[in-house]
Amino acid sequence: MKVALLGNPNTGKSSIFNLLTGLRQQVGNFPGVTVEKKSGFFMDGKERIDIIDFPGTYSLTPRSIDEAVVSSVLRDKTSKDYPDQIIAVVDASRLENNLFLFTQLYDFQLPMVLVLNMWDLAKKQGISIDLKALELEFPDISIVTTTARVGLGKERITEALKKPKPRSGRVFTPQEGEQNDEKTEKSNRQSAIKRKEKISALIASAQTTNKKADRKLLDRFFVHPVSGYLFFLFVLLVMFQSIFSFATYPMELIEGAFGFLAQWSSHSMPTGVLNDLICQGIIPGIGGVLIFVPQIALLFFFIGILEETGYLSRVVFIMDRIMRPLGLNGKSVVPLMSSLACAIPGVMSARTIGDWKERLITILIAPLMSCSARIPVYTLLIALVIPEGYIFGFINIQGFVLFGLYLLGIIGALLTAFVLKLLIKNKSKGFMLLELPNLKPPRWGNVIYSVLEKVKVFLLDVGKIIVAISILLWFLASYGPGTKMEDAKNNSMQSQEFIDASNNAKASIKSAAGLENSYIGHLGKFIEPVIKPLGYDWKIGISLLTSFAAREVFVGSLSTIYAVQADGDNSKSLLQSMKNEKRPDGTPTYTLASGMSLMVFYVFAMQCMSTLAVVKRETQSWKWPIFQLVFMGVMAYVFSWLTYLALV
Amino acid sequence: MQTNLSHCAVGEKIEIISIEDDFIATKLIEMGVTEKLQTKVVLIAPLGDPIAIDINGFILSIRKAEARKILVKKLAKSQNSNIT
Repeated sequence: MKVALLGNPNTGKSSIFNLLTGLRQQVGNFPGVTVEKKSGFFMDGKERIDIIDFPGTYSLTPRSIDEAVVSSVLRDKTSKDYPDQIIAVVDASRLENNLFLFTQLYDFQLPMVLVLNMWDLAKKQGISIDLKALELEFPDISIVTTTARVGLGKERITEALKKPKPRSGRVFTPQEGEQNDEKTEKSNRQSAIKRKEKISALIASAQTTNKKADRKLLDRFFVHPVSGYLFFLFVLLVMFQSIFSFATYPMELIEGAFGFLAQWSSHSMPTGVLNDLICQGIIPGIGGVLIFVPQIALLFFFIGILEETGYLSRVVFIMDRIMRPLGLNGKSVVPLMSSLACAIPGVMSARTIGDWKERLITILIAPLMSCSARIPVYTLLIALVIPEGYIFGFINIQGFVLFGLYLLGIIGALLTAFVLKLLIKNKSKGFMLLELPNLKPPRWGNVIYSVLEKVKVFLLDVGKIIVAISILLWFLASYGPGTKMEDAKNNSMQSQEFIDASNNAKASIKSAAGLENSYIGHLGKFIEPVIKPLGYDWKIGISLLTSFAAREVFVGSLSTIYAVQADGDNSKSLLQSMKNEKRPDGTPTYTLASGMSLMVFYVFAMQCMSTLAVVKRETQSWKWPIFQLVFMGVMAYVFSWLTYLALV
Repeated sequence: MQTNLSHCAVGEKIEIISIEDDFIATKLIEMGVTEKLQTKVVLIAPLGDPIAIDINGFILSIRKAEARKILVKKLAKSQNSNIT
């Protein structure tokens, strides 16, 4: 049996969903659209009852994508999500507002359970609802009360689902039985007024209110011009700081574990192609996916709290006017800020943005924010070409350049947003009616469920793309055309340098020769004419290509190419070899001009396959990640070229 | 006094007279904002936009552009008694 779970936003619908299905949940999308579809099930004896959690809407008039999905599924009996029964969740403390959607659903003639949730809250607020009067008005459905927040009422819902009452053909507002999209705005309005009037009459007889004074002091603080922004800044700081620092421990653990696993299995299996594939391709690939999990989990833990408490809508309220001229939304702030740690959870968190265009722009610009994977690249290059010292005696020059790179990314992101706003067609009207739900303590269960859900989506939907690309990159870096690679390795062993070198040095000379002659090495040489105007040679070209796996790989690749020995103080010797590196004409490869150009390149370039994979997942097409790859690539090329020209 | 919602201050009690745009009006009715509704402005964002009104305990934020389309009557203090 299929059951559709429907209701307004902020009615505790997700609490009810979690209550009914527990961990037996799945996340997907409704066919053809980017609207999230959560489904789950529970067993009633031998029968499996599937629950589909539809997006929260205020009505069935199809205006937003969310509303269109709900109304099209309910109107299309052939749809694979067409339900056998409906559970309509309403907030008992705000019955009048919630009845609009409910009465529309009622008119569909499907067996139905009306769930009056937040029953305790209604009582506490002095609202009493006459259930008899509701049953009189809606005699052919089941009506139950719940307080899902504390887990009350699950049995009442499942009992009602087991014994569906047959519908009698009764409707709430008869003239609206056949609603369709072609109706004029005027007639939509007329029927909405009629429905609303009937609801008001019903409420007058079924509900008595003895309301107490309001409690808006906290809200005044949250939206205050000074304290509002300061508090939000504080929240961001805490979030950002935690993602940045706490995530490193589990990340190092994952890195270490997979490094160990790769080494262990390479020793315990017979050598050969299969061994290489598993130990150098697949295991590091899976490790490269898992490494993101701590950051994703932490970010969604915080976002879950912000959403659950209702604070997030206050953020939208104070940020909306500021972000709007850029084609963004008040809700874009959180994804963009978290992209400073990592764009992957940032892109995933853009889901909270309702408007498709604003969400898309947020996703497209998020990777321009400098993420933590750029830090190793920045610090290496800064140490290489920026002199130590102070401006005005107190501003550290190297620190100032680092700050400038971050700023460049942020400015680039905001300006790009502005351009995209003009370029991308808008499907929806630019209005925003946003509910500010009551502030309340978070329900930790819901927070944990949302963390698990995001991690699961990332591992299953995004992970496979990342593993596939990393295997491809491994192949390109480990194999070369014909026998060139082997020949080069053998040749390198004939050189005087090799014969004089220690064992460790021998290995690194060999692998440098190997990488140079691999497919990716050839590719790096092939693109040299293209990147020459930026001040790069083919060795940098190879590192640019390999760091598509993840930006920090740039450092590792350079170490391999310059045959830096794996032992000892790695970064220092890498720095030394880079300083000594000369062009064919004898001038140093890394000058202020080429170094700055390279840094600017990393600010803008989409050097991250994992982000592309997650953008594909979130936009449901390859079109947008490819567009992103191209426009960021063009930006990177143009700006690093200009930088090089200006400094050379 | 008749004006539109974008010209109201925090705490001012108002009654909604009419809504200009059919599209916005339908959307607002669905969320509980009807003509003749007595309400008050509870919050205004720092840059004067958006504006939030209280509909029987349900706080709704409306952008200024839409607020301009909502004609309201400011209620004198003596008429406050029937507002929750």
